[in-house]
Amino acid sequence: MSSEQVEPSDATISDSTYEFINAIRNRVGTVVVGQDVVVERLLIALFTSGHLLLQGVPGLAKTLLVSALSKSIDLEFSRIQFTVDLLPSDIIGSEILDQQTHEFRTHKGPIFTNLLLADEINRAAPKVQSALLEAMQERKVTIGNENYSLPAPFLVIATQNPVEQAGTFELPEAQLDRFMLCHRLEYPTPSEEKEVLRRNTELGVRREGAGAVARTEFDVLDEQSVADRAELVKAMEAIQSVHVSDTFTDHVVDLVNRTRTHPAIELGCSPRAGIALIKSARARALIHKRHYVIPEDLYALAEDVVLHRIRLNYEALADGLTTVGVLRQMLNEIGAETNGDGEVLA
Amino acid sequence: MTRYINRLFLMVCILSSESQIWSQEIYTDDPFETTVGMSQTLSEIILPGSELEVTDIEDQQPFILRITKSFVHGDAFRYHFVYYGLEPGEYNLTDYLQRKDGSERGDLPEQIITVQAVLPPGQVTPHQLTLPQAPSIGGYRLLLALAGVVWVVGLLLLIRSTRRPRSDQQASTDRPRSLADQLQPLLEAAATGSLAESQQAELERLLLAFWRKKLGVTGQSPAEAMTALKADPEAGELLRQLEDWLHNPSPSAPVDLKRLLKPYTNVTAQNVSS
Repeated sequence: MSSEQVEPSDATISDSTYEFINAIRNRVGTVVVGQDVVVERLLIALFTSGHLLLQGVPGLAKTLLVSALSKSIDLEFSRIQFTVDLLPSDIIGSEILDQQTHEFRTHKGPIFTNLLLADEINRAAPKVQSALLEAMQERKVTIGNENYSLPAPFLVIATQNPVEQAGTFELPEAQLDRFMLCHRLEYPTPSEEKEVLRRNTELGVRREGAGAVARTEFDVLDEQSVADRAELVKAMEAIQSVHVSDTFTDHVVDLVNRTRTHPAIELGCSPRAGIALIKSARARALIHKRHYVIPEDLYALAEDVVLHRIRLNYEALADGLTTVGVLRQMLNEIGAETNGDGEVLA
Repeated sequence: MTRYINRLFLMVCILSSESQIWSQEIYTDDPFETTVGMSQTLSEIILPGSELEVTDIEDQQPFILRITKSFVHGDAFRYHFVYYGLEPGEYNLTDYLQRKDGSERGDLPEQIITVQAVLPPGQVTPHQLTLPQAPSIGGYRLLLALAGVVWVVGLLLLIRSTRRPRSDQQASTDRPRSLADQLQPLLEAAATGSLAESQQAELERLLLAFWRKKLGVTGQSPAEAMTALKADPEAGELLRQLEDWLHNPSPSAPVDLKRLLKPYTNVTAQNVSS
């Protein structure tokens, strides 16, 4: 397997990249109504090789979104429903004794894919979570004595149900930090929901032999991809050419430092959060057809990048504060006291 | 027998006490005479007409009269009096009586009482009792309140005296520059790429915070607020231009800075910080 490093200056953003992005968004839009922000986050995660954690109640089309995305770009897709009795070998794979040859044969698990949907990741035991998260970090797994690299691109999209916490194993902060983004899905707007219902009524039935089954949104998914992996790689390379100004870097450093010194926060952001902010901001800039990042990218992505990386202290929780509220307060404070020392406005 | 002894003892006690009383009240045998300050009893005095009573005692009155008992006596009344005099002289007892029913007193017979002085003539008498002027009620509180007022006034004068040079100094300086005046050199530097690195992020944050507050979008989520700022006709133009200068590696052509700074001309830096 060959690897080639792409320098930022080596790649430029062409119109075909923008067309590729639009094609994916349009394809996903054919089966998923609304959720533009989630689609954008999926693309950001895909373009930056970051992993995405989706938090949302059941029925918000999380699985459908990931399926639509994988089929749009002709990527391999696996889904694992995490349960309490799941074993690491169920994900990674194992060595199986071949009865005919009397030799061990490696059986690769569902992790060997491009897009892995880890459904309800918090329902699995911690050792299974650790196995997956190690693979996410190192992008390779060990089966027996052999190391196996995971396919490229490799993206894990995990889901968590914010309700029904009984019988779940909450992901610790160190493991949550491996997810570049954690997006909280919201219910569709009334007009979007009306469109969902309208489309659902037009699905009809699918004949199978002598019988028939009611068609679902998954049946509507067009198997034909709208883009190939080469264009995905091109987009990933194009992101490297998105300019990040020193000013933007200052904003990121300021925000990350605020999370470490805020009186309500017990655990602030790691440097990985700053890296994730820059990476995701570059991808967002590309999606919005810019070749440079702007503060809007920071403000748009801050919640998804920062919230799952900070933990409030006991006093803040006792006062009824939430991580969202504290982060918004910090973002609103940025600049509010800047002029107090009169450094800029002399 | 015991009861008899007890009664006898009681009678002795009563007689003893009576004798003491009489010894105090009766100084002379004549019931119409007494000495200064000593009370005298005048019994069985029949006065014509309806029942009488003692007039109200006036201040510094030298003769004090009291009716102890009164009885109907045909068309008249029979009285028992007790009196005493505070100054020697002769007093008509009936001058100190009036009709109980409010009718005219009429011609009552004179009953002259003589009050004699026991002290020798020329006896030095005490000075007239004079009371010093009583202090006014609540004087201490009034004093405290006055002291408080004096203290506060003094403090205010002191503060005013210390501030006076500063206000004079402020008055002597020029009118504070507007935010546009202060932003102009910074934006010119940003446009030419010569703004110091440390000031670039600070300038952008300052403008974002200024417009967030001015447009009242602090309650919105930061992403929504940012979108609102950039969409605002007043705020958006300079913010977008600043983004172009600070973040775009190849910024666009120069723009009319005065037009961009128009919304900031009537704002001072103090307004921004407050």
